[in-house]
Amino acid sequence: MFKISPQVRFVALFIVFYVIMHLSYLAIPIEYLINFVYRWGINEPAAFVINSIASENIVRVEGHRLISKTAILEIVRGCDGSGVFFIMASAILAFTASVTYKLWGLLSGLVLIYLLNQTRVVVLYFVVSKEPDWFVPLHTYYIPTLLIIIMCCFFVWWLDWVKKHDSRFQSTA
Amino acid sequence: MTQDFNQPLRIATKLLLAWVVLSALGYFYGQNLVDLMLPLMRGFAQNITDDFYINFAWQKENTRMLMIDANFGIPKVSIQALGINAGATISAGTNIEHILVPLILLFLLVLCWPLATFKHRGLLLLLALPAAVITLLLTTPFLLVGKVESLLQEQASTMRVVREKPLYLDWMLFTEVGGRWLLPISLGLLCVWLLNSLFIPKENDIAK
Repeated sequence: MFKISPQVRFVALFIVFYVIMHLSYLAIPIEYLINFVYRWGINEPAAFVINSIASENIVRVEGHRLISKTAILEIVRGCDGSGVFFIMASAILAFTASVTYKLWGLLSGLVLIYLLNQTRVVVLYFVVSKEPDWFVPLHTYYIPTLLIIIMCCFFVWWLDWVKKHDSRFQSTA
Repeated sequence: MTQDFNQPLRIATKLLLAWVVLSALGYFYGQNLVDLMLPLMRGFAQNITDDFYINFAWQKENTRMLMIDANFGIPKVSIQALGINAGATISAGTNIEHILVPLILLFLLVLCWPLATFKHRGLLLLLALPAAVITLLLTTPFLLVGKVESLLQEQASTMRVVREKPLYLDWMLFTEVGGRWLLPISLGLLCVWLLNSLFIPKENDIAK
């Protein structure tokens, strides 16, 4: 009888969950993302933080744009932390654990990614405003790879927590 | 207990150190690596579409930017309808950091995955080499060809001409949202599985 190894099963489920989330995300109309999610979920809180830090250069929100005298930052599909969340969520869903532990992992991961992405948006705004030459390397390389590393660490921490508390992993000896 | 608490911290430190080393290597030698792969990537990209002739080259003004020159040498109905003349060239590009992201993630996984011996690490690195080639081929050529196709789609929309959306544009979008992270992580995990199933059990069998 053909038996799939747990590692292959994990990778297969990891990919399947990711693709499902990706396709669902693409099904969301861009107008809804721009006028609701990006505006109220990302840009308004980011503008509040930026204006609290640097009140001399007022930032205003226009849909998916953060606009000031010195910078314009545009949030587009994919700049909302969704990719990192899908990776982390797919890994959690693909791992064998109780539903409660998975839900806690997904919820705390979502909060962590939201906070990290808001920090990323604020940092990138100041980069565009003060050091525009740094934008491309930070936006395309340093920040995304660091986010993935943080997500890996979060996943390891979650695994550690599940293995210590989930009854499925408790030794019967 | 302290040891348990330190385990995620140890992994985080290892990942960060490997990230710093790989980033430095990518910064100094990344272009040489991509240079080595350019003929293969160009050939692969030409198989994605036959709407234009493809050439890859580093931009003269910004040498860290890899450009695609899409030359419309063949007069095709689908292209002429967009107002593009035969012989015209469209360029688009991506920077070296963007190209290297999936490779860095693959090698981060390979370097930081917990393994018992250096021999296993060496074997995993060897297994990761074809995975790196696959990763590069499934990301950069699609991105560059996709950027040209996106310009053609925009042109078609401006000219009010119906232009079929090719499947590779969906793949490009998939990789750009997060697929270029999913791909190296999945391939890296499959390399670990290959290492475990091809090499590690055999050693145990010999020991028995």
